[in-house]
Amino acid sequence: MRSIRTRLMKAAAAALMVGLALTACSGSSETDPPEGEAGAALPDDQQNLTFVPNYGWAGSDISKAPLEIGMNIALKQTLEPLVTLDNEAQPQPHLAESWEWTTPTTLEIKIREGVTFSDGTPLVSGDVKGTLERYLAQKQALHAVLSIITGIEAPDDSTVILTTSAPTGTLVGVLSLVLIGKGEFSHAEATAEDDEYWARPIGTGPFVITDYVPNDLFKFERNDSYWGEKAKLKTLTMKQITDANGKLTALSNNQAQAVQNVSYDQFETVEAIPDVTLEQFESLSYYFVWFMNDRAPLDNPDVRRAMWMALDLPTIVESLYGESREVMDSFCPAAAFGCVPAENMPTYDPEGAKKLLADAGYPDGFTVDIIFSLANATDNALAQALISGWKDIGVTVEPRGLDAASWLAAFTGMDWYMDFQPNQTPTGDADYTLNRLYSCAAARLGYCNPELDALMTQAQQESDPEVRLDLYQQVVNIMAEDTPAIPLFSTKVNVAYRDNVQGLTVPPTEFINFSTVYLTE
Amino acid sequence: MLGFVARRLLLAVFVLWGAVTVVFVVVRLVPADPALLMAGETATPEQLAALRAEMGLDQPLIAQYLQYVGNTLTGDFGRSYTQFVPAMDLIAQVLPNTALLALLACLLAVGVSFPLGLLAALRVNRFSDRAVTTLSLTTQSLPGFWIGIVLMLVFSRQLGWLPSAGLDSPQSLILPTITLALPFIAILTRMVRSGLIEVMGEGYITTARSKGLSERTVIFPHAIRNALIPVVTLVGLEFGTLLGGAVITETVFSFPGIGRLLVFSIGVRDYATVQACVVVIAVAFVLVNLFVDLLYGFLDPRVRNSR
Repeated sequence: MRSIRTRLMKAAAAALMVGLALTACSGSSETDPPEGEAGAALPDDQQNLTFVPNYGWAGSDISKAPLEIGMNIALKQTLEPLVTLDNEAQPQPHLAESWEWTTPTTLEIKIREGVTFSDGTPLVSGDVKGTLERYLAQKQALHAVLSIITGIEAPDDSTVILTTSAPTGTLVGVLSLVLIGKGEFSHAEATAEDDEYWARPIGTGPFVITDYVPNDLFKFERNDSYWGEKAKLKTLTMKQITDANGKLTALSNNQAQAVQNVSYDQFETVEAIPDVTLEQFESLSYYFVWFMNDRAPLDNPDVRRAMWMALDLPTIVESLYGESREVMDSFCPAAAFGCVPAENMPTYDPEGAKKLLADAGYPDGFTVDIIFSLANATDNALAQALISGWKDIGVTVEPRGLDAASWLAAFTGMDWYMDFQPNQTPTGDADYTLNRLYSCAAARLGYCNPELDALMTQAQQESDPEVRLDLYQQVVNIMAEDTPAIPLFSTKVNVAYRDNVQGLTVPPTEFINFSTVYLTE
Repeated sequence: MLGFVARRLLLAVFVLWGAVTVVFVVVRLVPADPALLMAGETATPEQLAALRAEMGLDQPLIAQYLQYVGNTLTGDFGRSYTQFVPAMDLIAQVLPNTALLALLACLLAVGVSFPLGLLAALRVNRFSDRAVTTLSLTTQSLPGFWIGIVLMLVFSRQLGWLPSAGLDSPQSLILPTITLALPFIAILTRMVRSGLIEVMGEGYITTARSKGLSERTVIFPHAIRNALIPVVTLVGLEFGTLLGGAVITETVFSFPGIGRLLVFSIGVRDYATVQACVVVIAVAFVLVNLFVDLLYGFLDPRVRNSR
């Protein structure tokens, strides 16, 4: 996984050099797309791109669903965060020019000067304060990680001071998921005007929203008064096409110029479409198997380890998903900061697994169940592959494929021995996944290790990246020993796009920045 | 006539009440907790309890039912938990699209099937009749989703003539309209044919002919008007069905209509939207049927005079 990170760094450096070279060679104005090797850029009135995302939208108010990837992809074209995450999942300045922990629990943020909303009003610290207060008041999925904020002050127009209940090195990264809206429409006690604004926000981003139809489309136009480098596209449409055949047809007849996440079994079809490129990118999504760690026989770490050793994960992944997924060597996706490889991860060893079971008092195996949601079409095949592996060591696992609602009820009711499901690390930091899921306080899978808790808390509070990496190394090593779960594979995200689409790249967060994308002849 | 209208209105109200009640019961029989779905897996028990109270799920069933009926009467089905807006707002955005699609499909079906049915009926047992009948049977036998996919592959992917998804332009309506209309054309053509053949054997047609009226005059005012009565019923029923959401067609073509909204809402257990969709579909169906009944009564005096 370190090699992936190295490759990513090299790729980023190469992209930067190419970008600089293009910029240096270009004598065009800010909004003119550069003339790349693929041909001259289309005239501005033809810079219209339709993108078919993989994710739906839970409305258009990002403050109510700040972790929804689909909403972030759409709304981040219009609303911007204080910081963005680079390919190493490290925060970089955006609307915030700089930040500093003035005390272990006081974060001072300087707002970038000269930033305006698309209606011309300047961005001030009150907008950041109001937005954070709205996010906190919504009590949505991000609330758990934002709730350490105990005070928000805006002493002047360019300064925001956050006070936290404890030192929190992860806070700045989390702020990459808070998209800043107008303070006058952002209050802890939301008004009807607030909700109306957030449903169709005016932001500081490179595009403005011109239309939104639930479950159907977002339409954007370039924000010609954008404070940074202006978008090259004149219009951008994000269109929901759920039918797989319809998606590829739209791409082939140029109704859409880019589609996200073509399923693996359609790769050949896509590659056969003329003038279309299929590209895969690393993401923050992955799959895991969870054990109910306090339920016999899975309360024995050796039994859990044996279950892991029964799975030939490289073969399962290769046969079911080809190169679209990658076997993991940590407990969260490698693209996230802190998800370092565990040094003692179990590997495929069915004979060793049988011996572990026998030593644990289960020479003839046992019977347990595994729940999973039928929402993902290929998960049934995955369940069968896993069950087959466990059967080889004498363990009978009964599959309980459930519809999404029934799965959620069974999952939260802890009515299972094992569960497998997709998961994400949207903050790009190991803390979000490891501390949220595997701490004693999480109480989600009957697993509790005070030593692990102490390390994770320390890693959460620490600001020095190197120290944090060392701490997470200890964390994942302990987890590999305890085996509360089996990380199965990380999921790559792919985009199929027409060859005249330039500048399209997908970061691990999947929050595509369309301001750099343009169309050529 | 007034008594006839009153009877039909009363029946319509009863049917609507039945539909609303069935929706209420079925949604509560489904093994899922709407509050849990809305709050997500990370919700605390306190948050869940608060949400259940807010949604009225902590009330006795009868109290929930009465509140639900009361809200339904005012068009308030609650907020969609996936979109955070009133469910009726979502429907209001897509219902006109479905209505337009249903109307176009009906117009196309009527426009094509009438001449075809007439041709078959007037040339019964001849080549043109057999051709029309065979074509109708074949088309009627094909599943709608298959027709949609084939049309999409041919006209969108291979020929690149028409858009394959969405409602971006008037051209976007062509393939969904044809997909919806084709099976309807098949049924309607056969109905027009058989109706006309039956009417042409009636005594009053013989009388008209014996009076020396031309064949054209015999067919058009006399035969057609009587043959139309069952056809009007069929068109009305079909239009009501299409208004209720051409679920498969809308899904295949990613058409922003009520059928697609319903499928999506069922998939994510968005109960407020599912309830609203089903009730709106029921209302549309009942209203169209009511209109057809009244039209039927207008066309055929025997209907309005019957009890």
